[in-house]
Order: sequence, then structure tokens, then C-alpha cells
Amino acid sequence: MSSDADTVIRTFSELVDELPQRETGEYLVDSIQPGHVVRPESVDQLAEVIRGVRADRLAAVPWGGGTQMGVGNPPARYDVGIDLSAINDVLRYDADDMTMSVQAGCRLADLNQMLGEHRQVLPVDAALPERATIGGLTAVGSSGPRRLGYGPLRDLIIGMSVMSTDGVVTKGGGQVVKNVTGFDMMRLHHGALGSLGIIVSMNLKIIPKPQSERTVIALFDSLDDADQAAREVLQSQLGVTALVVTNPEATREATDSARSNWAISVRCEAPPSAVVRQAERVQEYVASNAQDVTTEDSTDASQERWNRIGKALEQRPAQEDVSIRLGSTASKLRATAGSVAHTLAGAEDVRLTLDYGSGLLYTRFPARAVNESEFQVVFDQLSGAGDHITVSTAPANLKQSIQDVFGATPAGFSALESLKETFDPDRILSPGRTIGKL
Amino acid sequence: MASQQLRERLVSIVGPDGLLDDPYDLLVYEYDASDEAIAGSHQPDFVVLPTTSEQVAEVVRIAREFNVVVTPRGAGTGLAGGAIASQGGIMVVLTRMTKILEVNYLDRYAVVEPGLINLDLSVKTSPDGYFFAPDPSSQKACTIGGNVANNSGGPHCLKYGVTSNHILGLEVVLPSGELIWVGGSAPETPGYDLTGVMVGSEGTIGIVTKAMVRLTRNPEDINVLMAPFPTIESASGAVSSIIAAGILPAALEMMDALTIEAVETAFNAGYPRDAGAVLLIEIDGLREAVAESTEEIVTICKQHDAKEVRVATSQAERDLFWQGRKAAFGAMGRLTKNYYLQDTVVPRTKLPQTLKRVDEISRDYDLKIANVFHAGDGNLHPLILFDRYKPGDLEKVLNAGTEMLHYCVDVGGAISGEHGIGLEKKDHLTMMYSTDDLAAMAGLKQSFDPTQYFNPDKVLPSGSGCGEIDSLKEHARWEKMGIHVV
Ligand SMILES: Cc1cc2nc3c(=O)[nH]c(=O)nc-3n(C[C@H](O)[C@H](O)[C@H](O)COP(=O)(O)OP(=O)(O)OC[C@H]3O[C@@H](n4cnc5c(N)ncnc54)[C@H](O)[C@@H]3O)c2cc1C
Ligand SMILES: Cc1cc2nc3c(=O)[nH]c(=O)nc-3n(C[C@H](O)[C@H](O)[C@H](O)COP(=O)(O)OP(=O)(O)OC[C@H]3O[C@@H](n4cnc5c(N)ncnc54)[C@H](O)[C@@H]3O)c2cc1C
Repeated sequence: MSSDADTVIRTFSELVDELPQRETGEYLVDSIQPGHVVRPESVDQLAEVIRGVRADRLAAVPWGGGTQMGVGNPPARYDVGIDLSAINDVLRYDADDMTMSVQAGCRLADLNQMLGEHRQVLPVDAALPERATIGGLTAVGSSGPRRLGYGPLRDLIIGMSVMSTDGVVTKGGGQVVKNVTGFDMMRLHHGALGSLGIIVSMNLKIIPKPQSERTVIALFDSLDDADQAAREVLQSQLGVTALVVTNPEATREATDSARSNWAISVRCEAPPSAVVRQAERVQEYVASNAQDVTTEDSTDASQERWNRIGKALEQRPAQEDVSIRLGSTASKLRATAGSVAHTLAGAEDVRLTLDYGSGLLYTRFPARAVNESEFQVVFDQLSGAGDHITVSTAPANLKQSIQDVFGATPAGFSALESLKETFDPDRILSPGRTIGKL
Repeated sequence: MASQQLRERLVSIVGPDGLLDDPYDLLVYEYDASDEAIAGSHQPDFVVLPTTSEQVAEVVRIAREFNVVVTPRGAGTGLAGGAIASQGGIMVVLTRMTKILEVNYLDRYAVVEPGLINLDLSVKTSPDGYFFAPDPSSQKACTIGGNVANNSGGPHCLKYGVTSNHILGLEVVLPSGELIWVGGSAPETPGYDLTGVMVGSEGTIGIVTKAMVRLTRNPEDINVLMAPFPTIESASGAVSSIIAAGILPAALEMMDALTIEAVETAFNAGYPRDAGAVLLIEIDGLREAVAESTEEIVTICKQHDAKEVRVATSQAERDLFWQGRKAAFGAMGRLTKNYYLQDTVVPRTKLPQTLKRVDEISRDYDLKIANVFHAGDGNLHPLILFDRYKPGDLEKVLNAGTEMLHYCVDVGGAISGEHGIGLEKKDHLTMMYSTDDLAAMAGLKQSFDPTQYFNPDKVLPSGSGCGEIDSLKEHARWEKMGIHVV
């Protein structure tokens, strides 16, 4: 970084004409269109952008692949979109150490393609891995069903570089798989929606790619039966890596099944010698009340099945759908789902995916099922059904009709406020988006 | 006088038997398991032993009111001086809060008080088929609160991850005096991840009063292997090959000849005394997978000149193999008056060259160094043997230790893998982090504790206090312009 860049700060308006720009209409957040969208091509250029934005007291929203921009409160202000997809170098890949360092704009599918050549994998899910960036995944901080087997992305992050609102890169952690040197800055930024700094790059722990996989799918007449099966598999020693239950509407979407059933999908990943017995044993566990049990008995078919389950959770255009995520636990999911179904009884085509391995419930329903005056009531009832709530997508008018898309302000909120005040005193990064409208 | 008033207020919260201020009683609280000649020692003015979260919160509020510093403490087994009351004040000792409050196997968690001894949790849950994965070698003594504060590791963290991965939620008393829960049994509570930030913060931003910890299901099958190698190089070559082959053992531990000698003299764990190094390898998981990995590991060890590979055939033999490892630090008493335990970490492929460097340092300084460590993670524990009363020894030890840290950082490693920074290593943080990096960390501390009265002097280097963040940033700017500030 040149010392000039440090001393002479140019305002955003002085800079903007030199920056690679994008069509602003493609970067709406909650129907708000920014004045500019820039796509910095280097970390230094990103630093200039941040300094400029701050000098002009503008508000910027970072963009990764744009697949989860629905998560968050409507921004209080939104002047500049910063598209990070060009900051996408793989900085290092130490296959024998099973670690890598990648820039935030790297896409999940590309990384796993590279790792696959060395029979390694970054075991995180995304609804749209071809688009989702590692920075976006981290900023959203929501892990998919494979959390059961491999833990959340949060636990794979061993180091991180973040661009501060001063336009300075600060790092935490390191390049090693075990490290307690200094505070855990990675966990501060994981799940912070980019509101405390822009993630520039991160160091990740990777794992050997499972040699083979199977997926067992069983259909049930009722949630009670599916729940019973889920509990038994979870308490076994079979070490399955993902387990979700879907309601008939979600099952249809994930399986093309013409039948209308609750389904349980169980992912088995292990060496070939073990995976067959693993899948057989899972079948035995789930068979008792099942209408039908099948196994995807090749690795490709199994992977394809999970892509479909992921796609069923994918965010649709906000104008069409409302997606909500509730926190729960395996023992409470059945009750949580019951309350959700009760609350949404009037709506048609309500999809429910119960991630038993994580303790999360996803629901999606057509936005036309509720109007602005009803939404707060529906939201409150739903939030009472779980331990926590997040509206992941909804039309802007619905979002605006509720207090906070993340539900009640948490205990210790003053600590969150002071973190925001320390790291983003001028409120230039995604102001208003995160919990409590910080 | 103020201190009499403070005493009375504290007694009104914790009762007369919950407070110590007799200098004689305070003696044991003036140091922890770190070497006091290296990390230092200092007496607190008062030790309080609360029995409830509310008492902890009350004590903190009183400390705030009287403007005195607070140092949390568990069992005092920490190795970096984290639990030393470096400025006196009130030490909050959590060892009377030892209850297991809830166990939920289906949801795989337990809620415990912070003074619970690590091993006591697994002892309670293992008959039901679950365990608490972080297993520091000190697990018979250290507390779960201390594990959380230090983000402690242990042999099984290779596969299962360090403490941070096993903490779902915490009840904490913040420096503001608030008593709150962060996180919980459902994952991904919206908002900043305060649970994640608390873990590893060494008691500098909150006192843990309850922990919701993850329980792990016992694996279907376990194998423990013991492989003696002719040299430490051949053993570390085997470690790198095992990792590179895509095998993820539950644990992969190494002991060198000096350690073997100490352990065998003390316990007869069955390690061959003529070996240059021993690897202890645990593999767990599905039956077939364990069998397959065992076979692969045996082959790799033999390729790296292992003389034999013994697979424990009974629980008793497994326990014996492990006992030698877990009690290795204690066994060092057989070889030396004092030892300084260094804790560093390197990328795993850099192990062979790092161990070579440690050996050179041993020769350069004429100090015996024993190695017993978490090889699979690249987490070294060179034990530098010395005699505190021999003039010049301590300086040599400190210099040798610092040289190791420099080397490890140079090859891409870090200055602590699991024991923490505390008082001992805080001034070494600059080996890894720039002034800007440290300013960000100081910003985190400041956000919780603007007056810096929680566990003062720990983790961050001297001179990176909160009031100094702006000057830190200023220095960073000057440095970039080539102006060096002293
Ligand atoms: C079935 C399913 C499974 C999923 N599994 C996982 C999983 O295993 N792990 C996981 O983490 N997520 C998972 N997700 C969540 C989701 O897929 C990702 O969070 C998403 O793809 C984000 O990537 P993106 O690049 O599109 O982010 P975007 O939508 O572009 O951005 C998301 C947010 O992050 C901010 N942001 C983007 N880039 C940065 C940056 N560099 N620095 C700071 N802030 C930034 C944006 O401002 C925005 O608030 C899952 C979702 C579903 C539906
Ligand atoms: C023989 C021996 C072997 C060891 N082996 C290992 C090992 O394998 N792996 C490993 O990681 N460590 C190991 N250690 C180090 C040590 O045991 C761990 O760091 C342990 O977690 C400390 O727990 P403690 O209860 O003794 O904490 P203490 O030493 O009392 O305190 C440690 C730190 O935690 C803070 N603290 C304690 N309780 C709380 C609380 N409730 N809330 C907030 N802060 C708190 C203190 O202020 C201090 O900063 C070993 C130590 C010894 C002596």
C-alpha cells in the first residue's frame, strides 16, 4: 500500500469515475437502488473505496454472490454497492497441511472443484454454490444440513483479514489449525452481515473428501412418524452427516415425488466399506413406520439429491415468497413445526424443512398469503414457536411492517451497540441491516 | 477505610466463608501453573468464592462501584499466567460452582457451572454413551470455565475440534455488571457471535457463570495404536504422511526419547525405552472405517521405519498407553527440577524441520528439551528442562523459548496453540500481528470493558490499552510511511 494512499484521502465522488462500475438496477436491496455499484479489482482499490465512502459519510452494502441479500433489515441508507466478486484469488492452498487461504470473492463451487482434485473438500452447503462466495457465506453465517457431520463453517475458519472502516486491512488468527493467539476476530465477523468490516480473505481448514456417500429417503404419513425416525437415527452411533425432514410440499419439490408425504433424508458419508452398512442400518432405523424407503446408492445420485434439497430452500424472488428460519432443537422441532403449521394454516403451498441435525426449521410460503397489517402478528406467532427467528426473504413492504427481521432485541444488546460503535463509528457499512437495526 | 467497606460489602454477598483476605490464605492464589519466574506472581487483595451467578454479578457490580480490578479464576492450572491478579483487587474463584444443571442427549448438550472439573462431565455422561470432547491433559483438575476462557485443546481436538467448537451458549457477567445468556441450544442466534468471541478471551471481557456445552456421541469403535520410531524425524515424517493420506485420526500424539524415559521411569506405560520417539494414535468411527484406517496407518508407520505398531487389545491396554501421555508433564519431575513448557504451533508439514530446529536450539543453549505434543495439529510442547537456582539458566530458557517462537512464526505458525497468552506471551503478540491488527483486538476489548478492569494486563501487549487505540492506529500509519516509533 503506498503511503500516498494513506495520507491523501479522496472522497468517493472524486474517485468514482475511475472505478469499475456495475449496473445499479441489479443490486437492489429491499427494493432500494444505490446511486453507484463499484466492483474493486484489488484490495488496494477496495481500501480507496472504503475511505472515500467514509469521507463522504455514505453508506455501503457489500455484495458477494448476491444469493442471500434478503437476509437483514432494510438498510437505513444505501448509497454504494460494493461487489466483491473480483477479489477472488486463491492466495495459497497447502494440500498436505489441509489448509487454504482464499479471497472473499471466491465461489464455493470453484473452491470445491479445486479441492476435489486433491480429494479434499470444504464441507459447507449453500443453496447456490456456483454463485455463493466464501465471504458472503461467512458474513451470513448460516450453515446447512451438513453441520451435523462437519460442524458449521465458523469452526473451519482459522484466520481472517478484514478491511476496517479506516480502509485498513487487519488480520486475526493465522494459517494453523489450532491457535489461541489473541482474540478470536474471526468469530466476531462471522455472521455479522458485513456490518463491522468487509471480509477480504480467510484461511480455512479443509478435510479429506469422503470417499463415498449414500442417502436414505423414507416417506411417512405423519410428522410424528418422521420425527420418531429422526430421533432414532440421531441417537445411534452411525455418525450420519445430515438429516432433514420435509413436509409433503417440500418433499414434492425435492424429490419429484407425486406422492404427498413427509420425508426424512439421511446422508451417509464414509469409506466404501462402511457406507453400505451405514445406509442399511439407517434403513432399519427408519423402516418401522415408513410408507416407502429408498436409498440413493451411488455417490453422484446422493449428491444430486442434496443439491435438490438445497434448491428447495433457495430464496425465490422476494416479491413472490417469504422465507423464515427458526431456531429449535431436535427434541423441539416437531412442536415448532406444529405451531408454524397452525399459524400458517390459511396459506397454501407452505414448505417446511426441518434440519434435525442442526436444530433449524425453514419455512417458505407465497408472499400473497399475508398482508402488511397481518405480518407482525404472524411474525410474532412464529417467533414464539422457536428459540429465535430470522426473516431470510420477504417483500420490502412486509419487512418494513415488522419491528426487526431478527425478532426481539437480545439481552446484552449494549455490547452489540458498542461493537458497532467501535468498528463502524460513522455507520458506513450496511447501516440498519443487522439485529436491532444496528 | 475503603477496603474495609469493600470487604463488608463482599461478605454481604458471598458470606464470611466465601471471602479470603488473610495473606496466608491468599498465598495459593498468587500464581497459577505457569512458572512464576516467567509469568510472574501477585496477590489479590480479596479472593471471593461465589456459589451462584447472581453472586458473581453482584461482586462485579461492587468492584465497579469501588473501582477495583477483577480477575476470574478456575482451578489455576493455566500455563500462561492468565489467572494472576497482576494488579491485586478482587479474584473471583469459581470452584464452588460445580453443578451439572441439565443433560439432554437427544439435543446433545449439557448445561454446567463453570467450576465443574472437565473430566467430571464425561464421567457422568459416558455410561449413557456421550462425552465432552475437549480433553486437556489437565482434565482431572481444570475447570470448564477455564477451558472456555482459554479455548483449551487436548489430544482429541484433532478430530473433534477445540473448546470453541463445543460451546453452544454461555451465561456471562459482563464488565457492565449485566448477567446475560449468549447463544443457546439452537444454533446461529441472530446478532454478533458473542459466544464465539467470549471463548478464548481469557476472562478479559466476561466471567462465565454457566456453559451450555456440546456432548458428542461415543464412536462405534475405537483403536489405539502405539508405534515406536528410531528417530523423531522418522516419527514426524509418519505424522505428515498420515495427514496427507487423508486420514483423520481422533488423536495423534508424539513423545520423544527424553519423555519416554521420564514416563517409563514414573509409570511403565509400555513405551520401548530404546525408541527415539513414540506415536500414540487413536482412530475412531464406524467399525469398517476404523479397521481400514488402522491398516493404512500401520503401513505408513512401517514405511517410516517404525519398529513395530502395537494395537491395544483391551480397554486396560488403551488406558495404559494413554496414561503415559496424559501424565507426561508430571513425570518430568523424574528428570529435572524445573521445566518451562513452551506451546507453539506450526503447519503440520513443517513439523520435521521445526523439531530439528528445536534440537539445534537445545544444543546451542546447552539445555535439555523434551518433546511431548499434539503432532496431528502441529501443536508443539517443547519442555525446556532447567534449574531455577542455577545462575543464568532462566535467561537461557527465556531466550531459547523466544527463539522457538520466532522460528515457528517464520514457518507460518503461531505463538500459542492452546495454553493462551495471559501475562506470559502478551508482548510476543507483535511477532504475529501488526499494530493495526492489535488495534482491532484492543477495540474488541474496549467494546466490552472500556475501563479495563476485567483481568487487566492479559492478552494484549503492554501499551495497547484502550485509551491507546487511536495512538496505535496513528503509529501504524507512521510505520507505513517508514517512520519507526519507539
Ligand atoms: C440449503 C442451504 C444450505 C446452506 N448451507 C450453508 C452452509 O453450509 N454454510 C453457510 O455458511 N451458509 C449456508 N447457507 C446460506 C447461504 O447459502 C449463503 O450464506 C449464501 O450463499 C451467501 O453467499 P453470497 O456470496 O451469495 O452472499 P451475498 O448474498 O452476496 O451476501 C450475503 C451477505 O453478506 C454480506 N457480504 C457479502 N460478502 C461480504 C464480504 N466479503 N464481507 C462482508 N460482508 C459481505 C452482504 O452484504 C450480505 O449481507 C445455506 C443456505 C441454504 C438455503
Ligand atoms: C499438567 C497440565 C497439563 C495441561 N494440559 C493442557 C492441554 O492438554 N491442553 C490445554 O489446552 N491446556 C492444558 N493445560 C493448561 C490448563 O489446564 C488449561 O488452560 C485449562 O483450561 C485452565 O483451566 P483452569 O480451570 O485451571 O483455569 P485457570 O488457570 O484458573 O484460568 C485460566 C484462564 O481462564 C480465566 N478463567 C477461569 N475461569 C473463568 C471463568 N469462569 N470465566 C472467565 N474466565 C475464567 C482466568 O482468568 C485465566 O485467564 C495443562 C496444564 C497443566 C498444569
